[in-house]
Amino acid sequence: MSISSSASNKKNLAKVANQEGAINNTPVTLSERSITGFALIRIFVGYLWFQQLFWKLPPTFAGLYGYIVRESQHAIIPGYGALLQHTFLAGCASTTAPTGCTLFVPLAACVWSAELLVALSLMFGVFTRFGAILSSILALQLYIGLAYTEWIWTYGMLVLLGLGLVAIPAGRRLGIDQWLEPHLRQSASNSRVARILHWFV
Amino acid sequence: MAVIRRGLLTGLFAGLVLAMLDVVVDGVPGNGLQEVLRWFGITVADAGLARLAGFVLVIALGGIFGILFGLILNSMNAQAVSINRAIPLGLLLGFAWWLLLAQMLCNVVHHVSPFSFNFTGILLTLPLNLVFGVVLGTAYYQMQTRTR
Repeated sequence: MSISSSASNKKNLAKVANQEGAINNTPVTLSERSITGFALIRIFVGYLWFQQLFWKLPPTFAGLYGYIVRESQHAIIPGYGALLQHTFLAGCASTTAPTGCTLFVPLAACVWSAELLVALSLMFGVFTRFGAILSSILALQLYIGLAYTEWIWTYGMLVLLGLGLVAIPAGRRLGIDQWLEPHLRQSASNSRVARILHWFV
Repeated sequence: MAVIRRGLLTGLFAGLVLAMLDVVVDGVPGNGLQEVLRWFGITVADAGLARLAGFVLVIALGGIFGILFGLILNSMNAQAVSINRAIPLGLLLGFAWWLLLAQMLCNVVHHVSPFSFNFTGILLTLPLNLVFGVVLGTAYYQMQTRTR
């Protein structure tokens, strides 16, 4: 009797655990309002990156120079400062202006273009996850170089914002990804490129 | 009529997004909103009040462009628009806003040739108006889908 009772209890416990597991593992579906909210956050984060293009405009990108110098002096990872010294700051004669630098302009152009790409991707919601990954990498680089020179969370928050937008397909509302997604989903079964691109929307 | 009403509502929403983006400008928060008032020859002495009036005006302009969006769809007899059409049409209206108001009218007000363009000016204003267009088109499509 006791054995039978114990077996029955075990069965009941297993049943309850299964039910709880089923409830806890129910896929989370974002409501229309939530995803629209995330889309608005995406637009504003994109605009944040967009505005930072204007103090380091081409062709000189001069505004960026002081920050690169600061990064080379205060980086939190050993060797990162030296890396900047031998790339961005190679041949530079001054700490205030990019005179004599050999690689500063081409590398600064790459940074500026990457930030433009992030801004356009997030503002327009086109390949949003790609833009969000790129923004996280750029923000992480800023964190490594500048975290000790400002409030330590400033660039940390920027990294987290980027990662948040990697996790959620925020471009599928109020963005061009809403148009791209069904097309790429359809082509994904036949094309590997489409499958990869589909992950970015 | 439902198409035009939907256009108005989504235009107001897209205008609100644009107005909010104009508020969070690095270094000069909300100053772009005062500029919008100047396009129409309106000057308000109090800067705070001018920003508020500009904020409302941008939303109202969004509503007007939203009505235009609805009127264009109505003229095409498109009671139900696909996303393939909604986004390009929104972008076209966003571009029209930029060209007619942010560039030509703004230049005329500042006594410059209406066709005077510069790289920084274009980079500063055009993407925002195109974002307005994308939001207008996608929000319209979303609202239409929900209604149906």
